[in-house]
Amino acid sequence: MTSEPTERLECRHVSFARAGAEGLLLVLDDLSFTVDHGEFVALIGPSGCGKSTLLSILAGLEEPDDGEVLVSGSPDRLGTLTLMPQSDALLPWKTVLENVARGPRITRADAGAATERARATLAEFGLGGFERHYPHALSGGMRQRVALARAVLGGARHWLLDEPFGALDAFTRAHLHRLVADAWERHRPSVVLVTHDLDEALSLADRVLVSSSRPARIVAELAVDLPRPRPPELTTSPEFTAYKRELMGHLFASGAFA
Amino acid sequence: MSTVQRVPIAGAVPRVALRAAGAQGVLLALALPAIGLALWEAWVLVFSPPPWLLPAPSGIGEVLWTDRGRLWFHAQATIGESLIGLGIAVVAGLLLAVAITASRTTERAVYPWVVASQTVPILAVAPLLGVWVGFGTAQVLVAAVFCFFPIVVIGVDTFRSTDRQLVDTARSMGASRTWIWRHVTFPAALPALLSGLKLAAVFAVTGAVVAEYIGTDRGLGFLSELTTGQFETVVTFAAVAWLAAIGLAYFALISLAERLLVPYRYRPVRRHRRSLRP
Amino acid sequence: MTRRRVALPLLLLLAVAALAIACGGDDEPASSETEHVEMILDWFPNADHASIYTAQEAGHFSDAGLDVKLTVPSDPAAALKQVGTGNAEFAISYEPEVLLARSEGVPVVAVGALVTHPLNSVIVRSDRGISRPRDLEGKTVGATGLPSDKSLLQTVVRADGGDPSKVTIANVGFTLGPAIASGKVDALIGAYWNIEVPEIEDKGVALDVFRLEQNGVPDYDELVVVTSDAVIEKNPRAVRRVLAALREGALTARDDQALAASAVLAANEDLNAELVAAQVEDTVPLLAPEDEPILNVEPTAWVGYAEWMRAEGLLKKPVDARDAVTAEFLPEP
Repeated sequence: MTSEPTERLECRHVSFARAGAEGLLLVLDDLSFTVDHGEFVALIGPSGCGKSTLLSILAGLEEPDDGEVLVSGSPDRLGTLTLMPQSDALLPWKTVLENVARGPRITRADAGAATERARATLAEFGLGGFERHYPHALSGGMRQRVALARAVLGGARHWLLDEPFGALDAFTRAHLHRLVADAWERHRPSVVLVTHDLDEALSLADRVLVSSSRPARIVAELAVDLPRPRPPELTTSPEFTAYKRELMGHLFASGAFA
Repeated sequence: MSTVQRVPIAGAVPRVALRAAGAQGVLLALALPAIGLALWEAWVLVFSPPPWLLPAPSGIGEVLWTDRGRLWFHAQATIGESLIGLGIAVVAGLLLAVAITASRTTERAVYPWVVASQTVPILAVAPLLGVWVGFGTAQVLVAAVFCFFPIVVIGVDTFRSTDRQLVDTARSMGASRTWIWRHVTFPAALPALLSGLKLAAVFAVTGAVVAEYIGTDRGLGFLSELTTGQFETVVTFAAVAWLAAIGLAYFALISLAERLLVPYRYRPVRRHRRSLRP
Repeated sequence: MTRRRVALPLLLLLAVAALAIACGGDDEPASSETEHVEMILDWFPNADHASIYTAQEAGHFSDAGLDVKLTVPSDPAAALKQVGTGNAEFAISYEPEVLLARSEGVPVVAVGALVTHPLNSVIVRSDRGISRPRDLEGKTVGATGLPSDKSLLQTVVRADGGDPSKVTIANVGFTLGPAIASGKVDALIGAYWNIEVPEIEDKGVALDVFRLEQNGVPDYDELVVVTSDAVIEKNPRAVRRVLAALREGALTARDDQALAASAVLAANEDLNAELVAAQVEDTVPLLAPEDEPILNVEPTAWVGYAEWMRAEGLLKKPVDARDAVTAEFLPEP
C-alpha cells in the first residue's frame, strides 16, 4: 500500500475547557501534533489529564474551543475515526457476529460479504464458534477482540484506542497487543493509542507523545525505532529498556509521578 | 485460549429466578389467595351474612360458571376497550417520547402540556366525551389517556439515559441518527419500556372500567355497576374476579414478550438459527 | 348558700351546652325524647325532596321529636343496602327498586309514598315528528342502561300499537339531558317529567311527554319512604313520627312554595333558583295531591306491579309484594 499523505490527522493548537464545579476548567492547552497515514502513535500521561477528552475531540464528537482538528485537510471528520474505548462498547443485544458484521456503515447490499469477512476475522482472532454468543457471555479479553474485529470490518482509516486493554490481565493483554499489531500491519490505519502503560506504548507505537497533567499539553515526543514485529520478549532487551528509561525521564519531568 | 466465562451484566436474570418462575413459583403464588379464600368461605359459613351483602367464594365460583356467557360478553368489551386504548397510548406515547428526546424545541413546547394533561380529571369530561364521540369510543379514549403519561415519561427518561459510550462509539463509526435510534437507543430502552408497558396495561384496564361507569351498555365496569344496583352482589364479585384475571393475563403476556424481545438477558447464546437481519 | 346559687345555673349552662353539642346545631332546644335518625336520599337534593326539606326547615321534624340527618348516597342501591344492614333507619327509593331488593332478600319495607305516580316518562323532542308513541319506530331513544328502561319503553310503544324492535335504544348513562339537547337522540326514557323536562326546555329545546301510566305501564309509586323490618319491629313510633312530619312538610310546601324552593336550594347549592322554583311548582301537586291521602300506598297495586315486573323479566326471583310495602303507619289524613 502506498503512503497517502492526504490521510494525515492533524491536531493544531487545540484548547478545550469544561464547565467544572468552580467555573471553567481548562482541560487541553494548545495541543499540537500530527499523525501521518499508517502511523502508530501512543499518547501517554497521568490519569485525569484529559486524554479521553482529546480522543472525543479527535473523533469529531466534540469541537475544540480553540484550534482545529483536520483529517485529510478537512474538519469534517465524524465517522472516519473509530473509537475503541476501555469498555469495548459492544451492543449487548446483538450477537458477536451481528456486532462485527452489522456496523453502522454496512449497507444491505454488503451484508453477505460482510458476514463472510466477519466470520473470517473472528476465526483469525480465535473466536470461531462464538458467533452466536451475546457479549455478556464472553470474557473481557474476548470482548475486546470482538471490538477490534468490528473496527477492522468498519474499514475506518483512523483508530482511536482509549486504554482498551487497561482492564485485562497481563497475558490477555499481551495476546491482544499481538492482534492489534497484526491487524495494523495488514490494514495500516493510522492509530492514536492512549495508555498509561509504558511497555504497551513502546511495544506498539512508532512514536510516543508525552502529555502533562491537566491542562494537558505535549511536553515530549519520542520516536521508537525498534524493529517489527515486537514480541513480548523484546521488553527485556537493552534497546527497549533504554527507550523506557528515556520515556520515564520525560514522565518524571512532566510531573506524572509526582 | 481463554474459556467462556459468564460475566454477569446488570439486568441479566439469574438462573435461580428463572427456576422459581416455573412450577414451584406457580404453587407458591397460589398459596396466599387459597388461604384467603378459605378464610372468607369459613367466615360466611359461620356468620351467615346476607348474600346481597357478602357472598361466599363458592357462590361466586358458581356464578362464574352459570353466568359465563354474560360475563364473557362483558369481559370482551372491557378487554377490547383497554387493548385498543393501550395500543393508541403506546403508539402516541412512544412517538411523542422520541420527538421530545430528539428535539429540544419539541421538548419545551410539548412536555409541560403532557404533564398538565394528567392533572385534568378526564373522568369529569368523560360523560360529555361519550355524547361527542359515542360510547365504546369514549371508554377507549379514557383508557388511552390513563396510560399515555407513564409511557411518555418512561420513554423520555430511558431514551435520554442511553449509555453515552455506546452512542459515541457508534457515531465515531459513522452511524446516522436513525441508525443510532434503531440499533442503540431503542434496544437499550426496551427493558424499561416493557416495565412501563406492564404499568400502562393495568392503568388501561382501570381507565376502561371507570369510564364504563359513566355511560355505556357493556363491559365489566358497567356490569358491576348494574348488578350492584340490582342487588346481584354475587355477580358484581364475579365481574371483579374477571377483572383481576384480565390484569394478570396482561402482565403475563408482557412478561412473555420480554423473554422473546430481550433474549440476551436470559441466555448466553441466541437460540434459533435465523439469517441475520441487517 | 352562695355555692348552691352558683352551682345550679352552672349545671344548667353545662347541660344546655352538652345538649347543644349533642344535637349539632339545632336551633330549638330539643326535648329529652329526641330521636336521631338517618334518612338516605335517592339522589342529590332536588325538588322531589320538597316535602322533606320543608319539613326540616319549618320545624316539623323537631316538633315530632325527631332529629333527621339527611345524606346523599353513593348510588341508589346503596341506600337500600344501608337500611337493610341497619346503618340507616330510612331511605328514599323507588317502588321497582324496593321490589327488586326484597326479591333478593334485603329486608326493606316501603311505608309511604312521596309521589304516587311515575315521574319517569318518555320524553321526545318536538321537532322530530313524534306525535305519539308508535312514531318512535325508526327513531333513537336515549336510556340510562337500566334493564327497566328498556321494558318501560317497549311497553309504551306496544300499547300504542307500535313495534318495539324498530326502536333504537342508545345507552347514554347519566347524560340524558345533553344527549337529547344536542340532538344525538330523538327521545329519552329514564328522565323525570317534573325535573329534567324544565331543565332541558330551559336550554331552548321544545319537548313533549308521554306519561308511562297513561301508556300501558301499571301505575307505580315513583318515590317512596323506606325502612327496615328491624326498625318496624323495634321502633314503630319513629316510623309514625317521620311520616306524620313528612305530611306536614308536604302541606306547608303546598301553601308556601317559596319556602319549599328555598329549603331545597339551601340543601344543594348547585341548583339554579329559577329552575327549582319551576320544578317545585310541578312537583308540589304530586306531593300533596287533592285526590288521595298524602303519602298513600296501595299494597294491592304493588302486587300488580310486581307481576308486571316478573312478566317483563325485571324480577328474576319471585317476591310477595305485601312483604315490601305496608300502609299501617300512614298518618291520619
